[in-house]
Amino acid sequence: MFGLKHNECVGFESRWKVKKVSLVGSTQTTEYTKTDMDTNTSEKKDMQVQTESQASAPTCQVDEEKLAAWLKKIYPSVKKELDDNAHSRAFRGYKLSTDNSDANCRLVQTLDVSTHAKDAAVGCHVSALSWNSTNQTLGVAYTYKHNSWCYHEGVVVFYTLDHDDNLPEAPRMKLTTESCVADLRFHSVLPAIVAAGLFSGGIVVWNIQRDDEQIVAKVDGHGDGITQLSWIADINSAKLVLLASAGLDGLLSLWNFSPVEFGLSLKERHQIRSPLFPKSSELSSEEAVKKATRAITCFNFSVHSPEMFVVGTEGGWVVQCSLLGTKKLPAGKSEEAPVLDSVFKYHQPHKGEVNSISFSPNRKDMFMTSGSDLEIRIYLIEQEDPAQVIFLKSALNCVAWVPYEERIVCGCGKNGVIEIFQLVKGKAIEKTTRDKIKTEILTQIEINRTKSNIVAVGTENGHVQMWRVPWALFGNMAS
Amino acid sequence: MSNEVEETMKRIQSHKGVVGTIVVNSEGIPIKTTLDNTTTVQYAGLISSLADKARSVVRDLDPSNDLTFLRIRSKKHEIMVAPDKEFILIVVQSPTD
Repeated sequence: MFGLKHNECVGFESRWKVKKVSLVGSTQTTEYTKTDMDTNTSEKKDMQVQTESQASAPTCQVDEEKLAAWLKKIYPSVKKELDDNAHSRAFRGYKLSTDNSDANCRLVQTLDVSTHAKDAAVGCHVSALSWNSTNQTLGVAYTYKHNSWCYHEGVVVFYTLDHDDNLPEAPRMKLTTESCVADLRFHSVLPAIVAAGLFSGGIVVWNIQRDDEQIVAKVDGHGDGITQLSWIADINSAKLVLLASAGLDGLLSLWNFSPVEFGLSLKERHQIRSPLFPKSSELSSEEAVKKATRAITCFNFSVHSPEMFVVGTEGGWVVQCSLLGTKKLPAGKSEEAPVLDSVFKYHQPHKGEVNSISFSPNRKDMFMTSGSDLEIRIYLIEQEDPAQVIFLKSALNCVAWVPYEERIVCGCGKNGVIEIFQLVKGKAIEKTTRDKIKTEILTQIEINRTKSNIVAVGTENGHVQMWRVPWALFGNMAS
Repeated sequence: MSNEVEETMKRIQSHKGVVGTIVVNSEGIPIKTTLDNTTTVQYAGLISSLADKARSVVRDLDPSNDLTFLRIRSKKHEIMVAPDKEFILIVVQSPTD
């Protein structure tokens, strides 16, 4: 069962080592290239709109023949209007502005007129400014401080506006008088006629068109210094213009002025009696009248009813007077012109002197006064108490109505800028100018009547300042 | 005839500053225009009623008087209106200054 195994010898090929067989070969590769690519995805939005069907003009049948004939007929007048419009200067420089932040008074020019004075070193101030009837020429008068009698030579200079509405450096004319000029007024119609009231009481009328002998009339108007002059309409004849003058002697005189012969002749005189008569038992009527009169500091005639005038006196009386229904007073001397009592009504007096008084250019029953008691008062002629009182922080030397703007009045004084007051609210408009201005005390203000944004202002140092004031914007602020 | 109307319209249009010309009939309906439809309809309606009002003002003030021309100056334009019994010519002009 079991037998011995005899192993047969068998040979085999060795396999522990393999002979490597290699072959050398080469391949050609293509050049390496690289390309960058970007893609941009755009955002998309979907929107829908609802379109309205366009309004189509309704068509209608026309008689073309008739239309052609009418167009032909009307064309010349349309052409004229279109051409006129293209060449029109009516709106040139006109800028409608409703933005009140533009409301700014600008000082555009300052002229030193005191250099024309003899005693410039003494210090003179502008006493009167007046535009002539064409509103192109400005008359400037200046005066000195007087302690007693006036020994100065009065000087008046005239400037004419240039194309840019500025004043030239040199005056067009310089005229002199024997004493200081207290007031200067151009004639209301004749552009070359100007009247000056002197500190000595005299009145001089010049014709500034003439090269020499400009004086056309000269009278001793008042016994004391003249305070105000005004050219007024004659109530008897619409064509005639009278010169009214008021003085410290308490008289208001009306002078006939003939434009042909250029002469002044006294027409009548008005005395403003005080409402409080002194005890007349001891005095004769003449003395009583003398005692009862007060110096007239200012007056103004109404443009709406030429017989009516208001007067401000020393001591603060505000008196309404009328040229009609006057009473003759016993004149002190044998004078040719009658002295009349024309007082109609007394209004509530100021507590100081009345500096200026003037009727509203817009309303015939309203007038304004300004006094040294730091009050501007608006009176109605029917009412004795003032309708409005504006209390001032600093004294004003001159106040004026603003043309076309009935809600505001302007004034100038110690603040050195044009001050504007709202009538209805009775308050001043703050910050009328944003510019930095060297402050001088202002004495006179005169608004150009044609170009009302041009305002001439006189100062205490003998300077004339030209301002541009957008009144309409300040008027909007007050409304 | 239509040519003649176009001719006159063109002549008016060639004037300095003229933006557009519209002819409106007495009912306020535009007949001829050089402006776009919407503007024309607006102008025609509004201006013709204004012209009627202006005319009645002039006539009420003085019955023997009549309105011959109406000019409206606005910030952007000047509108000139020539009213008549049957037609109204409206010319819109932009100010030159």
